Amino acid sequence: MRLKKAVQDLRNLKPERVWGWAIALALLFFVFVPVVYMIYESLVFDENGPRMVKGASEGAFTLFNWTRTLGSDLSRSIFYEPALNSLGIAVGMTAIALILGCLFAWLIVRTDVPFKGFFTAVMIIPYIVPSWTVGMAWLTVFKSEQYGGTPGLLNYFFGINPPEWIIYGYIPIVIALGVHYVPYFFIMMRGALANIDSRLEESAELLQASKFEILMKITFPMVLPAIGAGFILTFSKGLGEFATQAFMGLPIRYYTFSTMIYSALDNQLYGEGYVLALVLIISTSLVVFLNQMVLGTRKRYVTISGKGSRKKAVELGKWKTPMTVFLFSFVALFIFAPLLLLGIQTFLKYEGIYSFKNLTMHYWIGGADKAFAEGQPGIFRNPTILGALKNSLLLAGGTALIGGVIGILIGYTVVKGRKTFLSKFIENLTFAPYLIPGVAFGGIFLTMFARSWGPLPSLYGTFAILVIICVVKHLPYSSSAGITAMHQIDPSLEEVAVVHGIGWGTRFRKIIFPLAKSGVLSGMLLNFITTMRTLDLVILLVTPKTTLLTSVLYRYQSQDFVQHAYGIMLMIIVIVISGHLIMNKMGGKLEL
Amino acid sequence: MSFIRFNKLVKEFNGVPAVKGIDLEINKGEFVTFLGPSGCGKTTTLRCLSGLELPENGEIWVGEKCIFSRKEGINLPAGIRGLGLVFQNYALWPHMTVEQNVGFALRKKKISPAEKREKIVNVLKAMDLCEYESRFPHELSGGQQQRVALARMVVNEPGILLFDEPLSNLDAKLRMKLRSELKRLHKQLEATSIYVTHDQVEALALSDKIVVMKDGTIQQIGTPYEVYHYPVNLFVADFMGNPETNLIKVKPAPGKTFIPAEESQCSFQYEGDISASAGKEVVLNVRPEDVEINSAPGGNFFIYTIQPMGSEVMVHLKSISRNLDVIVKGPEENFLKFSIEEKVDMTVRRGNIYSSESGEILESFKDKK
Amino acid sequence: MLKKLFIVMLLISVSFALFAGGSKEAAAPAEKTAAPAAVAEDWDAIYEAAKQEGKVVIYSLSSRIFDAVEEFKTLYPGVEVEATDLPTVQQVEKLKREQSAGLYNADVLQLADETTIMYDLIKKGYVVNYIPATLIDGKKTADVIPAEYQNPMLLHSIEGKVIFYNTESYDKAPVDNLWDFTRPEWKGRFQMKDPMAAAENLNFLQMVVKNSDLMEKAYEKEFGTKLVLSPGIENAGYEWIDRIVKNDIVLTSSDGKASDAAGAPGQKNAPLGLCVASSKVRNNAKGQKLGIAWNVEPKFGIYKGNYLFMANNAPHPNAAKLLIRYMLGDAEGGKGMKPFYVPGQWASRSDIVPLADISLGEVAKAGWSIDTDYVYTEGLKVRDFWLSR
Repeated sequence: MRLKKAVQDLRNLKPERVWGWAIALALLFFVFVPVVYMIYESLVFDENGPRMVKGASEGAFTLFNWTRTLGSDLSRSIFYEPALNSLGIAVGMTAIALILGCLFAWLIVRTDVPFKGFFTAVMIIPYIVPSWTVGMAWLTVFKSEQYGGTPGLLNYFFGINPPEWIIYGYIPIVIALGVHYVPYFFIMMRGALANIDSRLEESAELLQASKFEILMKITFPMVLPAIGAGFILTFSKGLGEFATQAFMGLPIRYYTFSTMIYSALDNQLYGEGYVLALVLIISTSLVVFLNQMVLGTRKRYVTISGKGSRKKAVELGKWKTPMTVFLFSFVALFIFAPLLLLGIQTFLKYEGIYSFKNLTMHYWIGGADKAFAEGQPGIFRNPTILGALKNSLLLAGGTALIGGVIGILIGYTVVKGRKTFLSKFIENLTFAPYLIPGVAFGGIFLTMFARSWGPLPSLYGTFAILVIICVVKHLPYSSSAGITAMHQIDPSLEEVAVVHGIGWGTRFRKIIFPLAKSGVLSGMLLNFITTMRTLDLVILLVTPKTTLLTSVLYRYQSQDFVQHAYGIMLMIIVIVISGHLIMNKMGGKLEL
Repeated sequence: MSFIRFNKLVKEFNGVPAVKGIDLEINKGEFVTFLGPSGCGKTTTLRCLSGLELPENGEIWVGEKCIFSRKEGINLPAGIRGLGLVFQNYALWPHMTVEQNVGFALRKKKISPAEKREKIVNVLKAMDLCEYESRFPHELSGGQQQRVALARMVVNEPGILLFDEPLSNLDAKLRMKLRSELKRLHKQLEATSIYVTHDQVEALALSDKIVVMKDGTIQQIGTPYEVYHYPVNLFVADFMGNPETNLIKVKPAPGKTFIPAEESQCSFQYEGDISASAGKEVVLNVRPEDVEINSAPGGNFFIYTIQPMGSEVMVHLKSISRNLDVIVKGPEENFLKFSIEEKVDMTVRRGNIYSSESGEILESFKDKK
Repeated sequence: MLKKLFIVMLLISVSFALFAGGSKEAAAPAEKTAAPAAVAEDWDAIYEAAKQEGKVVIYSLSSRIFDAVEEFKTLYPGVEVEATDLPTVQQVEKLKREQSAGLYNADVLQLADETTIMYDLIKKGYVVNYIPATLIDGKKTADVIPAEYQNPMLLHSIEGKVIFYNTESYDKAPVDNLWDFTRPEWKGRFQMKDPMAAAENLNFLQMVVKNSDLMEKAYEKEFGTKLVLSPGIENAGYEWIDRIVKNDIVLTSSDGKASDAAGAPGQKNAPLGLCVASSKVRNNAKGQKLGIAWNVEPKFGIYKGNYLFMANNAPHPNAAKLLIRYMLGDAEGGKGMKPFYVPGQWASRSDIVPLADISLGEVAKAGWSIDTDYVYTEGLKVRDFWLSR
């Protein structure tokens, strides 16, 4: 029946239906098929199968991967412990981000703390810089000689060797990731708090409720849906985080879901890797599903209606100074200090020696010198890095552009076709990439596109595969930006043009796009930033010709060319922040 | 000869019918109003005509041309149906100035910029908008926005004008003013106009013909006079009340007397002739202005409230046993003499009688005066 | 609901069918017989043909390759070299995927990990073992490269994975037996790159397990008593792994970190590290104080080769031949050998004088070579054992 209707609609050539189906098919191919492929791969012997099971042949059907991963002597170390670690990290980092983010938002929106403009502007930085920024800076401070490499700042100046749990593992990972997600809650709560009708609180005040009572009984319940949605999204992201966990976990064999998946895929244990990935997908889906059950909505932001009028700031009184100091210390310690530290590192001739004699520009502009970094030339003279820079910019720009266009098309299809099968189908499928961990997504693309699919040639090693995977993986951002933007455009604005016989191309160019511009720009901005700093998604897919800044960074980091690694890191940070500023100028705003 | 013809038009939304097989003919140059409560299918019918919705079944003809037919597989794109449309919210493009709004809508391909400019200026002049041409919609008042929407609609000189509740966002005073401008516009352009509204005052004031709709079907098609005075069924009768109409279950008794169904001791008089409903239990529709009341110490009714409304007075009657309410309305001088709780008798001068089973009209009566 | 489920099932089965069809299509090329060696070659003609081909693409596990190919450019104008530095795992991955997809980009590979080379590349025909009959200085290959270094894979150079100690902290090597690392004084003070990320370190563990009898004897030599295996542990090799893990072995993310930790100057109690021998000289030039413990019971560690191959269906076969011959260097350790001719690394050519403390022959005696068959068949057990610790 639906099919018949679909065919009919096609015949009527509603453009949004045509591209709607095109997008739906593409999504099916790039999202659904990979997951099925993963399931398939998890059910056959990989090429290492014959090494582990006598008589097994590659490609034969088996439950071996599942039993080995979930129910063997090994399961504790390759599955249960990493799973628990991931869960613990997700809980811890979400808690930190939630508490700090909400507190900061409340302080800045509703109280009389000073320097609000400044705090609002800088609070976004941890989110747009790569998530492992704080982690890397952390290491340069706390590293001890016991764990290889040169010791950190603390050791150099005070001779202190911090205990292991401060340098690596749970605590630092949770702190580093928590800080990264603080802006996430901050922005969301800022919006939610600003939207609360202050009359609701004022009427409570008239009834002589205390400030605390108002906060807990009126304000908090009203922003609860926003908190809930943010919690789930951050939590499920935390389950899949890779880079920070790799940098701060692997040195002490602290494995998590994502590092375990990477390790398995990198060691060609595809079966094992995909079993883990599938379990992760299922758990994330479960979390999101539960959230939907509880909150009854998958909305990214819950706007609270009501006329936000001029608000009376809550007076902090004797708390004002401590709170201001607290805000400043957070900004200084977790936002500026890491960037500064990483910056300084790139000027040190020898890592870990903090003296003026040890300063050099070599790692930025020096030529090849075998005495340093095995003869890797300085960043600005290094063809590998410059090539990667070009690739990264192209990839991030291309992804943002394509993602933005697809996002707006999806938004158009979903909003125009409200309640139709196609609309719901696309809306749900665009959310799916969110659930697939980046490493596993990269891995499955690697396997899937090493061959041709019908007219689609083998994409292995091409730039196109990177663009595709980034566009697909970041579709949740693009499409939600597109959908939100479209919801804000009254359908009659387009219909009136239809009645005037204005073709859909012109309609799109002259009406839809200008009106959706700021929403779409935010989607593109988010796409740009996330692509620019993506590592887990592309690490298995890059080849020498398509290296990206992040993949070069990862390699330099593991080869201990720290100055280069931190230098690249700074480059990425400068690029994302400039991108952010440019987009802001153009009217885009970072929405989460 | 009809100009616009709907033939068994059916429109569903996800299997839920919104328009259930409408047949309707509209003459050239007519001002027709689709009137009905929200969800009655009036806007949907309009949108089907405009081409914004794809009907499930039926045909739509404009002149000699079929613009939609499911059977023949004809579905002319909206843009070439030659109509103009004004939306409830005006749908002005917020990122374009007044001039750009009108200019962007102007779809004459082979036209020089100078001619184009001239056309725009003419239309803006006609709508009294010249001084606002470089403003953006949000810099205009509601009435000005409405006029921009009208200007934009007429710039292509469409043969058919469609209005989707264009006045409902305005305050009462402005609504009145624009209503008369709309009527003049229609006369000037001599374009066939279809106007969708749920406000029966608007419908009565503007239309040559009113189409009353309910639940996706047409209830009555007629002139404002016909629809107001001779509603074909109880739904129309009730909907056309202003402010409200009285619907009373009665049994006609000999001697020009109605006995209300809920009341055994109470009765009231009427003037005029009825025959078809004699002896049956029927529903009487009587408008407040068609009731006469007289002071009578032993009367069946008493005055519950009196509300002066300026030129008129509205009186709320209740039967002695308080089971029956009747609203009466008339010029001040007729009613100011009464006081609350005063006992009265009433006489109905004019009314319609409907079958209480089918709700269809049985007959009308009217005094001879 | 049922209908939805049905559609999903249908889609899944269709997709499965597609993969099944696809994997056949993408089957690896059949095993190829190694190119016969030692047929006299006309190098002028090869150079001419190479000029026609215009360029040659080499993947190398070392960033030193950029240095190595410098001279090639001046020697053979008209043949461009496109060198890429790529870890072995990625080289293998790339080569396999490209060739399965019918893409042939690489000409020459310089890579390590004997087991992978043997089982993933040679046996599946992704590479050709090309051996030039004569070398760039005119010598016959057969005269200067021992036969066991030519077949089944052509060795370029050998590196040892050895134990580094700090010469400031210790007058001489502080350990003489692998079992020393299980002693309390080395708790948390033995470092190596995570074997899960470094094939050769995993190989080291695998060789320890394979040679469990030697490990058992070494234990007796160290402690004078017979080794008592912990419950559930199979042999002395596994026992050793278990004990060093319990003794808090430190895993680093790179080899360099381990050698930095061991070699940093000014330490009284420096840790030890299992590292690539050749980094000693380089790091000591930076001021580190590294020494190598050669005399360790039962072996100091392992040695592993870097090998040269021509890729299957190389797009520039003649240029590839030129490059491989060039890479094998001359008797002075020059040409393509130069960057790899460093102390701690041994050229496969017997006519090049090693710069290391000990000769290649001695290395072969004091260290384990990697048994690819063992690694292939039993190796994953060791990996799993390691993982489960």
